[in-house]
Amino acid sequence: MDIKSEIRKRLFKALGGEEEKYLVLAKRKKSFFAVPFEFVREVIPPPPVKILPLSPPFLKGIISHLGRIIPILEISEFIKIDEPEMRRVMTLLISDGHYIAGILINEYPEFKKIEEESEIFPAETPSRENTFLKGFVKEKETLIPILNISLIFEEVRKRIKRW
Amino acid sequence: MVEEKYLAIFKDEASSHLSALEKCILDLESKGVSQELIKEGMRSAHTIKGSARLLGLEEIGKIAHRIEDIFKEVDSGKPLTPELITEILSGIDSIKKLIEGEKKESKIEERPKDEVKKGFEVLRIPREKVEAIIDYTSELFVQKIKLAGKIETYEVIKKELKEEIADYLRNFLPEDKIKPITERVSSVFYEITEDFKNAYEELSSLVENIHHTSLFMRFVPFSEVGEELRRIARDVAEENKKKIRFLIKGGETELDKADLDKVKPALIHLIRNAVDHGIETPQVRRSLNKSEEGLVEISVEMEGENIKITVSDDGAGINVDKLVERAVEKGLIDRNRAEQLSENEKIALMFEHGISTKEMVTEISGRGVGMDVVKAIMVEMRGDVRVETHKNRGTKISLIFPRTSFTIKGIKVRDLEEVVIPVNDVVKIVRVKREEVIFRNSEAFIELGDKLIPVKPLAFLLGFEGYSLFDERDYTYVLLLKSGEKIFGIKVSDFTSDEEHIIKSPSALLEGMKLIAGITISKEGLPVIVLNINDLAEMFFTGTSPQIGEEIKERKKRILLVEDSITTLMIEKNILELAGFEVDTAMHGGEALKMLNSKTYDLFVLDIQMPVVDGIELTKIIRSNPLTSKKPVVIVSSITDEKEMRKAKEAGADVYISKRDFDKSGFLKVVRDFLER
Repeated sequence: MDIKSEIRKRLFKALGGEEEKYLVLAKRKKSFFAVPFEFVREVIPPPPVKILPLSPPFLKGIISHLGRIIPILEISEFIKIDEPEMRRVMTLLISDGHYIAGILINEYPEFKKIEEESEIFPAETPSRENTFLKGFVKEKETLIPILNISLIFEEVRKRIKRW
Repeated sequence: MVEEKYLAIFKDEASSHLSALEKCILDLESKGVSQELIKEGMRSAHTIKGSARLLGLEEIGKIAHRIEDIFKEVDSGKPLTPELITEILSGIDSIKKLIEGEKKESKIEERPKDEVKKGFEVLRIPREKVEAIIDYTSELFVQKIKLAGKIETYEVIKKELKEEIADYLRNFLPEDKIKPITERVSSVFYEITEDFKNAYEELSSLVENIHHTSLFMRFVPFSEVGEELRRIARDVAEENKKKIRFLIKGGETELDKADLDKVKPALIHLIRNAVDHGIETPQVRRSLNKSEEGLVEISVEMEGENIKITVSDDGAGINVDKLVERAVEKGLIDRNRAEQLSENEKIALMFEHGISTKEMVTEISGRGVGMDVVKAIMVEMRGDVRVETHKNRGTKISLIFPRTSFTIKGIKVRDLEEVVIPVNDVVKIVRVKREEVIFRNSEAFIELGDKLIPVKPLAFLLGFEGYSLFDERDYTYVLLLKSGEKIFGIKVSDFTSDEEHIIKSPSALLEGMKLIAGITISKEGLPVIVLNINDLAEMFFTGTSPQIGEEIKERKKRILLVEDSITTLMIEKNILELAGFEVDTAMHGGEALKMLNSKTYDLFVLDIQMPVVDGIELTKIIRSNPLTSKKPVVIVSSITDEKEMRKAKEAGADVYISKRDFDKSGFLKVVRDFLER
């Protein structure tokens, strides 16, 4: 087995490849990104977002959903998305079991089943653009970044402490 | 005889400690001996023992005491042999069986059914279920607001439908025949709408009641635990042949059940210590010219946003020298260092594991387990312990901790954005006229007695653009706030009277964010920030000053664009934003009304035909509000009917632009002309 296919296999396993696993493909502005299904809690219409005073740019504000206070994150602060703002349509609620947050998305997400033959690739040489990625998945000839949700939460905590 | 309610509490408490004990001994067996695990095991056994004895469950108490002794021996260096491990595990099993037996046997004191009916029936409901109910009722509240919006829309549809039916019938029938039909249609619609409205009113009142009740479900009066503590104090006094008077102050203070459950074990230790170690025997008290009856008091009060529970006694006080001696004997500190300790540092030794001032280890306390538990509980609750002790005059130990969720009395204020300020931090609210503000180096002050109090706009401190000191009025409101010794003023545009707010944690992800003391939910179901006044004060005194002088800071002009056609909305928004204006949008008049209440706008661009509240109605509301009455209203509509245009003018619109004749530069010129006036 060559190194590339070994890496692909390991990444498949890291994404939960032992069982049936799905990626949720969502769109922010004009760019797609993927979130492993187990981190996705709900997709909800955008409730009114309350802006927090003097908050960092990655924090769009907070919402009250079913009585819970949930922070809304701007994902384009963690992955490279330079397109102009679009009309928001959805909020994707993500959680790692400990933290919960909402991500603004612009289209209803799709699901993609992960199979051993799925074309998934590790993030290349670490760079600013792929720090918060688990890798990429190839969908219709496009490489879609797969978010590392735990790392994003960790980074949010760090940045809030520093802010 | 054991009362059922206490037995149920004990059963819950003991099972969690038994599980901890089991895990602890298994970890010791698999991972080897560690001080931390031994301490953990000793504390769990100690707690089971204490509670069991309190309820008269002697057999359980004895087993727990033996388990505690084993841990103590291991703590002193005895090897933890497989035999000892087996003995502990079989002890745990025996306790479990005994607890089950207690439940099945008729030792439980049964209350007559009639009595239960007369009094309150208490149901034990898991916390998650209560929290889920609170969350869902908050959502019910939001849905109630949405339903109100639907009813408004229904009213609009009713009016339009009547006109449409009339228009259609004109093709077939003369005018005099049409009126009775439309009147009949109208009356049927009226009846349906009224039924709908009445049902909504009833539902609305029910939802409000459920919401209010559910929010307070987690709160219980401190006296609920206070009474249990009284019983403990009484039993300990009896066992030691002491006389005590037990007082509870502030028992009516309502606390979150979660806080009470966490702090309870610490309070039990403090009460036991107060009676067992603090209060002297009647003979000793007599010899000291004290009343035979010792006083043990527990008081609950709020200290800012913290809860302070103080356990005090008028007993012997802590023997600080003996405490130091024990610490030296235990090797916790060397003698030279001990001599250099301050009085407070010496007292702090009581929180070390294994330290006790009691001459003899008794059944009740003084086994060196206790004060370290108290300290550990406070650390877990992010709280603090304060100790004050005087020889022969007694000891006062205060536990101070922040509340997990709580209610506060707060004032809702608005200065571009809405926030809540805790009433406790407000010294005074003053209405200040323009001429009463003193400017020094562009900084604003108001006079309070013989002092000059600095004033800054709240919106400036919160980092919002477009702040001002007077909102184009001749007066302003200033809230004088206190933080420690400092008093400072914040300007707000508007405020409501104080009301009770339930405070929620701002989510674990945002923990530690400055300025946020908590989040409350508005009547509209939206989150509102409760300000941390100490953070605000720090920002006030260390941050920069606003450029207010006597003028309003130059800012982008803000326009509210209300249009139900998404295409028109996007086109007009784009034109205005490219021209350098800040634009907020709403899809109908109802949404615009909410926005009007939360921000200041310089100009309004409105469509006429919109759901919920139309452009004419919205113009009238804008004109009737003192804060917006003088702001320009530009109507952009596809209606070219003279009658509608006249209606818009009469409602207070400044200009009427037809969509048919719409051109970008003409539209921009109108907007700019109005904003430059």
